[in-house]
Order: sequence, then structure tokens, then C-alpha cells
Amino acid sequence: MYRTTVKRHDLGIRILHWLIVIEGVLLGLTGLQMGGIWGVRLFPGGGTWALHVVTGLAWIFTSLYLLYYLIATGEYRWYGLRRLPYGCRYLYNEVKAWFGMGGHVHEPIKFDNDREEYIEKLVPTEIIVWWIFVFLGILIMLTGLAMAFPQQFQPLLQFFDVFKVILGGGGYSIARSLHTLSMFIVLGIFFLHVYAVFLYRMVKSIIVGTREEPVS
Amino acid sequence: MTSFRVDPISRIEGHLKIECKIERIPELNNEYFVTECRAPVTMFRGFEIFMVGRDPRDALLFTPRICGVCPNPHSITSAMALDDAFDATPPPAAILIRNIEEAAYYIYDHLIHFYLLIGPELGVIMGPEYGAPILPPVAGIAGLSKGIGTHYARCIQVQRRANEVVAMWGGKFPHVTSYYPGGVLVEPTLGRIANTVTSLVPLWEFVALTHIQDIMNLLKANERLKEVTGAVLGVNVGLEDIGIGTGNFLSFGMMPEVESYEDDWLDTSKRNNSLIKAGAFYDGSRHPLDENKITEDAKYSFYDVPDGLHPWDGLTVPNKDKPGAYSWTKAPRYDGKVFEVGPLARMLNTFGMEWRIPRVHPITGEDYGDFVYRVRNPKGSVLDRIVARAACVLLVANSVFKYVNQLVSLVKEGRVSTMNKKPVPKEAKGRGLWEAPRGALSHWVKIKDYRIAHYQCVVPGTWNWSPRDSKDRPGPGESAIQCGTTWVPTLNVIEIANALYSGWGDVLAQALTKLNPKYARLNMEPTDTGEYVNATIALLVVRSFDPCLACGVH
Amino acid sequence: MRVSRRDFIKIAAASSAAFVLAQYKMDIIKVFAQHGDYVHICWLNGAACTGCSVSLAQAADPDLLEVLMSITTYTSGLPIALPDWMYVVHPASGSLAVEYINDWIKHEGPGPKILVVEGAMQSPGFCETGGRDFRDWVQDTAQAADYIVAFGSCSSFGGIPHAKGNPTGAMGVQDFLIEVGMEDKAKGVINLPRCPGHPDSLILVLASLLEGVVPELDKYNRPKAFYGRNIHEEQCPFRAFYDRGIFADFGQSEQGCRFKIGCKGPVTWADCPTRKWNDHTSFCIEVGAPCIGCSEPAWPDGDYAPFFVELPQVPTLLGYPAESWGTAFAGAAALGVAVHLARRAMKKKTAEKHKEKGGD
Ligand code: HEM
Ligand code: HEM
Ligand code: NFV
Ligand code: SF4
Ligand code: SF4
Ligand code: F3S
Ligand SMILES: [Mg+2]
Repeated sequence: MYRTTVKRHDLGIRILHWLIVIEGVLLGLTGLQMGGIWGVRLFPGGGTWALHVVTGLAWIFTSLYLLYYLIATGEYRWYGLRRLPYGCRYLYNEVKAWFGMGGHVHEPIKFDNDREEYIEKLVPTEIIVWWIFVFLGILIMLTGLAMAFPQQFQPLLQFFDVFKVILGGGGYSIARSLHTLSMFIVLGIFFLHVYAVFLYRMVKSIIVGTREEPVS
Repeated sequence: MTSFRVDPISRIEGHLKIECKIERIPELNNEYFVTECRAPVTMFRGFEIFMVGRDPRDALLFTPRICGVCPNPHSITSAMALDDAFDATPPPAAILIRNIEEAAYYIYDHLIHFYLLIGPELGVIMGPEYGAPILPPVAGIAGLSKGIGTHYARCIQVQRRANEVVAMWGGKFPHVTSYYPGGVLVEPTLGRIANTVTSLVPLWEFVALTHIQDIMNLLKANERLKEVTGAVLGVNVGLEDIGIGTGNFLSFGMMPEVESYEDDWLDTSKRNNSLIKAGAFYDGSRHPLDENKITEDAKYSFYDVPDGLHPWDGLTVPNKDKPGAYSWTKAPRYDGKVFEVGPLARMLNTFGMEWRIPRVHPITGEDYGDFVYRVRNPKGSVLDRIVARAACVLLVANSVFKYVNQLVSLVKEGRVSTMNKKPVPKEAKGRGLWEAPRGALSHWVKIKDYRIAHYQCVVPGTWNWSPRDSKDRPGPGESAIQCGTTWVPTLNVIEIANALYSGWGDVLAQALTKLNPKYARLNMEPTDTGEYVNATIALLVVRSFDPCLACGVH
Repeated sequence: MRVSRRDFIKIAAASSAAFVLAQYKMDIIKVFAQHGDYVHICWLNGAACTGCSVSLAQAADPDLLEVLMSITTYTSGLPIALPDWMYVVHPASGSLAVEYINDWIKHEGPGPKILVVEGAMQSPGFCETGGRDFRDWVQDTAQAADYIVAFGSCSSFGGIPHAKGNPTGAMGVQDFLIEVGMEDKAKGVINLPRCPGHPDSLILVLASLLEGVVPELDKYNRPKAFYGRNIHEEQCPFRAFYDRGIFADFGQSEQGCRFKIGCKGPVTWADCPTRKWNDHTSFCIEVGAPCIGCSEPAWPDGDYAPFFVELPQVPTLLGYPAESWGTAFAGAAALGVAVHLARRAMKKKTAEKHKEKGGD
């Protein structure tokens, strides 16, 4: 088995990815500051809220654009919902192996040099991460919009209000809790994601676009 | 024997009715007198039930809503109960701010009672010369220029100014929001202090000059009243002879001194240094207060709970269909006896039978002469209650300037902290005792798992408007109405006014009829034999207590 | 000059600005004066604390005296007594009082009949007055009224008496009228919540109704002029602190947003920060307290109590707020990474030859 240098992510994906990263970090820091969480206080002046909301809106559109881009370039097929069980099985086996039960799965990424296309493009856990991001993204968006524009998004607040049966509180505080909670989960996944991409030596690919891929 | 009832009663707070048995007394010109009275309180909400399970601090904002006439006493009493439970003694500035806020509030409350609630009756008794200013201005601005209703109208504006001081420190009135266990949330800025002084000066002037003068005029008019009743009944009956109480008076004390807060104030068996002292006044003298002697009966109350429980063990289990019950108030007793609470109890416990209160202008230093009064009826009466209320408000209007000055000194020294913040305890209990305008108020809270596990309020309205107790003894209000001197004339208000001052009734009739022709029948109630009797004196007795029933039942 | 209906629609719409009432004070007074003897108000108290009546007496623009006195000046010497019936100020008690309420019910024009209710409605047997259950009084008077105004949170939505636990079945007038099958009347109830109701809101609404103008209402039947704007989003003077993430602790009234000590301004629609209370003196947040959201239908429960606990911590799962769960999750993830890293480093050291997974 040998490796060959392959163009893994085109420029569009890379730009969109890093845009999302910058926006995410900004949102996290402004959000933590607004919520008075962990004593984060990096932004002086009165613009923290505006910065958070404007970045939030930008973040929504960037994410939508990324989705569109993945679909348009056909990349989306690697992330499709149908592949989620495959990702989960992989994760399950890896975790077992880590505790010494059964062997590690070999890196499944394979490149077909003849047809110049991937046979398998992803580490399967990436599918899981992707879908968690999608789900949380939607939740953050809805809760964020409900809080930022309570007047315009009153139906959203009413929707969240329904959960008071289990959670107590009311629409706004439920939205706010979910928003905060999602933010923390994104942060957790973010740690794992960053660790994983170093682990799998993929950082280069999301910066310059190429990676040494194993050829089948 | 026959009977009548008055339901509803206006110009009091809340839902109270009186049911009176009356008899003609041959020795008293064969006039009707009340021989037995029941005073049912007919509305219940259930604070002691729906506060259980909540964050203890929510009591600070729930309990004021027991009563919008006296929200502040509930705020401070719940705050003191929580100070106790949180083990958080407020810093000096907070004690002073609490005093200032309560003092301003207190001025509003007592003034409202004298002018707007009981004023119209007193105005009629005081006649065209002295009474007119405290009657509602029956002829609009034209009336005001003739003096009619000038003090009544000014009271509406003055009480508003008093409450602006409350709002300065408490956010808004009714229902301030700035109390907290271990202090207050608001900081003593120089702006707040300056505005407070500016507003307080005209308040002091109204209290010390206008209001006290009206009281002195009332005392004069009372002599005239006695002459007239002497002519009709054969005995002189003045306002000191009606609404006679039990002679037992309870006070919990109010307005602590900063210096002795921990040694004197926090120990409720002392409270000797505060503006109003705590104590139980009976057999003609004051005895130290003993919290443990407070109990509540419920034999005639709409609750399925045992008699004689101390508020630490108190229960509130409503049963609106309970046989034999007739009131939503419980029956608080002290040392097993019926005790009256209120301004008279405060004055007796603090100063005894004779009171002397200076009237020195807080800014100019001009001396307007002391206000001196000797208690006319040591068992309590309509007159003594009214004068005691005025004496209290003068006392408070004087002392609030002291608190402001002390606060200024603290600010100059930089001792501005208003908060001794403590976390919500997992398990604790605490109680607050205070003098609300209508009398002794106490809140009793137990905390379990950081939540309210038990909350009992024993409120002035509960004390004074308690129904009969486990030994079938009537409450203070009921006793005062059935004390034997509550005359129920068959003459109407107009006729009585004419008898007091000739032509006066006709003037009143003219004004009232414009409002509604039926006013000639004011306070005339049908008896069960179809006769009409005049309930004015019974209502005067009721109103002399300044009843508050939302408080009483909570 | 008579104040026109059109003027009044304008005033009602503009009255959300703090001093608009002061500006139009004379017009409002004139309206009361014009109607004079024909102001027919019946004011009933149910499960109330009377704080709403007391609040009306704190009115400033115009103040109560100005309103009352204007009536007497402009007409033929009507004595100072605004409502046909109102417990706290009325001269009459007992059977005469009952007669006055019944007279009001029977009264026919001129001028609209306005019913003002203070306090909550309850199940039968918890509030009686004038020999009848309070429910019966409200049904009869509501039937006769041209307009129904629920003044204060109790009569609007149930308020404090309907707090969770609610042993007396307390509810607002609107819900009560629906319960007793008076849906058409319920639809028209004008709610003026807040605890107590704000005097400005009542005086303006009464003056409007006398002119036959029903102010524009929101979906809870509250006039938009008073309840159209969110406290936190659109009005709070401490907003700049929130935006900068500077929060006040208990006992700090001069600086910092009150969010961390439980401010419910973000879920409250009322104009307190701009209108303020007691002649524009102050309002809850200004004295270092949180807004507790007293103008909202779910109050005091829902988003609002516990009052001194910050908003996102209100809904909890197994007793812990979102912040704790979130911190725990992010912490666990970080810990997972650290453990994984440490084990790899150890393995690498002890067995250099061991082939790393996923690598070359
Ligand atoms: C990765 C994305 C995001 C993160 C990490 C994030 C994080 C946060 C955090 C930590 C808070 C403070 C919560 C608290 O006070 O406890 C917050 C508040 C807020 N977020 Fe976000 N947020 C994100 C996206 C958005 C989006 C898309 C919007 C919508 C425009 C939004 C709108 C808001 C608003 C309005 C608040 C404050 C609510 C208020 O005004 O009280 N956020 N956010
Ligand atoms: C909130 C922050 C982040 C989010 C939401 C995020 C999201 C994503 C998503 C959705 C993908 C899949 C895109 C694709 O391959 O088509 C991805 C891939 C990637 N991300 Fe991130 N990312 C974040 C932060 C980071 C950071 C900080 C790094 C680097 C240190 C990083 C490195 C990568 C790499 C290397 C890949 C490519 C994986 C591969 O080649 O398959 N990401 N990220
Ligand atoms: N009774 C009573 Fe109150 C007073 N003063 C209570 O604490 O009025 Ni509403
Ligand atoms: S709304 Fe508030 S102030 Fe008004 S009656 Fe109810 S508890 Fe009292
Ligand atoms: S600031 Fe909030 S709690 Fe205070 S009165 Fe206004 S709505 Fe009610
Ligand atoms: S901005 Fe104001 S509304 Fe409350 S949350 Fe902060 S004090
Ligand atoms: Mg009680």
C-alpha cells in the first residue's frame, strides 16, 4: 500500500470551513461574556450583543452555504444520513479496541488512483460529528433567533414554552438554556474534532487542500 | 332581641362584614345598643400554602402582595425572617435605609386612614367649623376655596409624595422590590438622600402642623359630642366611651437603633431602644414580649387545624364548608388571652399613659410646641386609637430625619455597604417581628432543602379581626363593637348632624343628594324586624381599628 | 375645545413614550370633565390586595385629585367620588352599597358603563361580598358593562393568587368569563396587568373608553401602548452593561445589568423603564432589584419565579441548570482528549515499534 498526494478539499470548502471556525469562536467568546460564564470578558464597549447576533446571523448563512456547496459538488454523499450507522459501528469498535477488546479498525480512507476518486473519503466518526453539528446548529439557530428577536419570533418562544411540562420555566428561559447547553456541547465536540484532525493528520488538508491518501 | 348586618363595609381594606344583635336599653332612653357582634372575614387566597416549595427569597416579593395598603411591613418582616434564617445581620446603612423606607411608607398609611377612610365620619362629628377641611370637597375647587375638603385633598397629594420617597429606595410603591436577606439591594447615593430630604420636609409640615391641628380640633369637637349625647341619652358619651377594648395590648416594636441592633433589637424580649418598643401591655403596665406565647386558634375559622398552635407549628388547611366556622381569619392569642394590636398598643407599650412628642421643624428649628396627650380610656376606645395613630405618625415623621442624618454620616465615612450576602441555607428557620401600621406583624419561615417548607404569617388584621377562639371569646374588634356602648340610633346621619350643629345636616344633605339622592339613607340598615337603624357608630368602631382583611386572612 | 376621537386614538397610540401623558394631561382631564356626571364606573374587588386601588392614588399625570376635581369644576358641583361604587373610597356601606351596584347594573346611558375589576376570580366559596359570591357579582356586572377593564395582574391573569399550588382556583376575569360561558364578554376584556396595575395605564384607558376608543391590544388583550415593548431589548437603562458583560451582584444598584441576580426583563413586555413609577421616580431595576416580570400571563410562575435566580438557570434537569450540564460535557470531552493523548504518549515511549492506528 502506498500513498499519493490528492486534492482533498477545494478552496471553497476550505474558506467556508475557516469562516465557520472564526465565526464560531467569536460567537462562543461573545456568548460566554454575555452570559457572564467563566468570567470571560474580552470585548470592551457596548457592541458585544450586536457582535454576537450579527456573527450568529453570518454563521447561519455560512453554514447554509456550506451545505449547499457540499450538495452542489457532490461531496454531500460522504455525509449522508444513511451512512450514520456505519459511523456509529466504527466508533463502537474503536472504543472497544481502546479498552482492549478486539482490534482497531484500519483507517478506512481509500483513494482509487485509476479513477481518481475516493472509494472512502472519511474517517467514519466524521459523519457523526457532522450530524451533531447540523442538529446543534439548527437548535442554536432557533434558540438564538427566539432570544434575539422575541417580537418577530414569538411562535418559536411559544414552541419552546411547551417543554415547560418537563423542564419547568417558560419559553424564553428554556430557549436560553438550550442555547447555552448547545454551545457547551459544540465546545466539547470542538475539542474532540480538533484532537481527531491532529490525530489523523488532516490539518494540512483543510488548509492547503491536499493530503497523502492511501491508494487501494 | 333583633339584629342587623353591614355587608360590605367600605373605606376599609378587604372583605369584612358585621352581624350585630341589638337590644333596646331602658336606662339609655330605650335606644338600641349592640349586645353581640360577629365579624366574618370573607375572602381567602392561601399565601401560606402556595409559598411552600419556593425559593425562600421569593417570600420577599410574595408576602407584600398579601396587602397593597401595607406591602412594606410585609417586605421588611419577611426580610427580617430571612435575615434570621440566613444568619445575616444587615450592615448599618441597610438598617437605616430600611428605617427610612418604612418611615416614609408609614406616613402615607396613617394619613390615608385619618383623611380618606375614617375622615368622612369624623368630619361630620367635628361640624362645619372644624370638620369641613377633612370632609371630601363636596363642591369641587369652589369647595376647596371655602376650606371644605382642603386637608382631605392635600392628603391625596401628600401621601403620594411620601410614597415617592418609598419608590426612591424601593423602586415603586405599592410592592417595593429592594429588600434582600442581610440588607437591601439599593445603594445610598447622595442623589437619593438629597431627594429624600426634599420630599420629607413638606411631609413633616403636613403631619406636625395640619394633621396634629386636626386632631386637636377633634378633641374639642368631642366635648361638644358629649354634651349632645348627654341630652339625648341621659349620659355623656364621647368617642372615648365607644369601641372599648380588652385592655390587653401587644407590640412587637419598630425602627431599631443602628448602634444596638444586635444586642437590643434582635432579642425580641428586649427591644427597648427602638423608636417603638416591644411588649405586652396589660394590667396597666408593659411586660417583656415572649414570642413563645403566641398561638392561633381555629375553632370558628375555615381551617381543619387544631387550636392553640404556635406559628412554628401552624397549619393552614382550608375547608370552606367547615361546620360552625364563620371567618377566614384564625384567632391569634397571646398567653392564651385576647390582645389588641395597633397604634394604641404601640404608644402604651412605649410611653405608657401619657405622651409628649416635640414638634420642632427639622430644617428651621422652629418650635411649634409639644403634642401632649393623656390616654382617655386605658382599655382602648375609638378616640384613643385615632389619637395614638396621629401620635405615631408624628413620632415617625420626627425620627426619619435622624435616620437620614445618620445615613449621611455613614456615607461620609465610606461605610456604604448595604449587603451582608449569605447563601440560601439548606436547612434553617427564622422569624421576623415588626409593627405594621395596624399593629404587630410576624412571619415565621422554615427552610428545608433550600426551599420554603413552612411559612406562617400572624398579621395585625388577624389579631384584631379574629373570630371567637377555642374558649368562645370574641376577637378585639368584635369585643369593641359589643362592649355595650355601641349605640344604634334610629335617627339618620342627616338628623344626627343637625342635632350636633343646627343646620349642619341640611348642608350635608344638599351636597350628598347631588351625588345620589339615596344618600340620606347612608348607613341605615334594615333589622330583621324591618326597622331601619343607623350603623354609623358601629362602623366608627370598626374603622377605628383601620381594618385590613387581605392582611388578616392572606 | 372638545377633545376629538381622532386626537384620542393618537394619544393612546403615542402614550408609550414616558412623558406623553404629562403632555396630554389637560386633554385627559378634559375628557373626564366633558363626561362629568356620566362617568359610570363600578369598581369591584375580588381576591385582591387592594394594591391596585392604592396604585391609582399614586397617579401623577394627571394625578387623581386633578381628575376628580376636574369633574366637579366642569359640571354642576358633583362631589368628589369618581366611581359609582368602589370599596376603598365610597361613602356608603351595607345595603345601600349593594343597591348602588344594582343601580349601576340597571342604569341606562348616557355615557358608557365601565366595570373595573381588581383581584382574581376564584372557585365558589372563597370570596363573598354583599351577601353573594363574588363570582355572581362579576357575572351580573360584566353582563351589564359596556367595557370591562381588568386592572392589575390578579384580575388580568390570576396574578399571585393563581401561583402554583393555587388552593382557591384563582384565575383572571377573562378566563372566568369563558368558564361561565360568557365568551363574547371575555373577548372584550382589557387587561392592564402589572402588580400593581400602573395608574397611567388605567387613567388613559378610562379616558379612551369614555371617548369610545378601545386602544390597540396585543394577543393577551393588553394595550400595545403600555405593553408593546420588551424591557430588556428595547428600554432598559442598564442594557449597556449587559452588552459589555458587566453584571451587578446583590447590593449593587448603581452599575451592572441585573441579569445574574434574576432579572426577567428579557421575558417581560411593559414600559416600566421609560414610564417608571410614582411620578417618574424609579422602577424595580433602578434600585438594584431584578424585574420579576409582573406584567406577564404566566407570572409568578413560568419563566419568572424563583425571582432571584437567573433566567437560563430556571429550567433545570435533575436539579442542575444548563450551565452546569454544559460545563460538565465540555469538561468530559476535554478530559477524554487528555486521557487519550496521555495513553498514546505512554504507549509510544514503551513500544516505539507499535504501529499507530490511522497513520502511515
Ligand atoms: C456557535 C454558535 C453560537 C454560540 C456558541 C452561542 C453562544 C451563546 C452563549 C454562550 C450565550 C450566553 C448564554 C447565557 O447567557 O447563558 C449566547 C447568548 C445569545 N446568543 Fe448565541 N451562540 C451562538 C449562535 C447564536 C446565533 C446563531 C444566534 C442568533 C442570531 C445567537 C443569539 C444569541 C442571543 C440573542 C443571546 C443572548 C440572549 C439575550 O439577549 O439574552 N447565538 N449565545
Ligand atoms: C466550531 C468550530 C468547527 C466546526 C463547526 C467545524 C466543522 C467542520 C466540518 C463540518 C467539517 C467537515 C467539512 C468537510 O470536510 O467537508 C470539518 C472538517 C475539518 N475540520 Fe473542522 N470545524 C471546526 C473547527 C476546526 C478547527 C479549529 C480545526 C483545526 C485545528 C479543524 C480542522 C478540520 C479539518 C482538518 C477538517 C477536515 C477533515 C477531513 O479532511 O476530512 N476544524 N470541520
Ligand atoms: N393588618 C394589616 Fe396590614 C398593616 N398595617 C399588615 O401587616 O394592612 Ni394591609
Ligand atoms: S395585581 Fe398585585 S397589586 Fe393588584 S390586587 Fe393583585 S396582588 Fe394586589
Ligand atoms: S420592572 Fe418588571 S417587575 Fe417591576 S413593575 Fe415593571 S414589569 Fe413589574
Ligand atoms: S439589561 Fe436590564 S432588563 Fe434586566 S437583564 Fe439586564 S437589567
Ligand atoms: Mg396566618
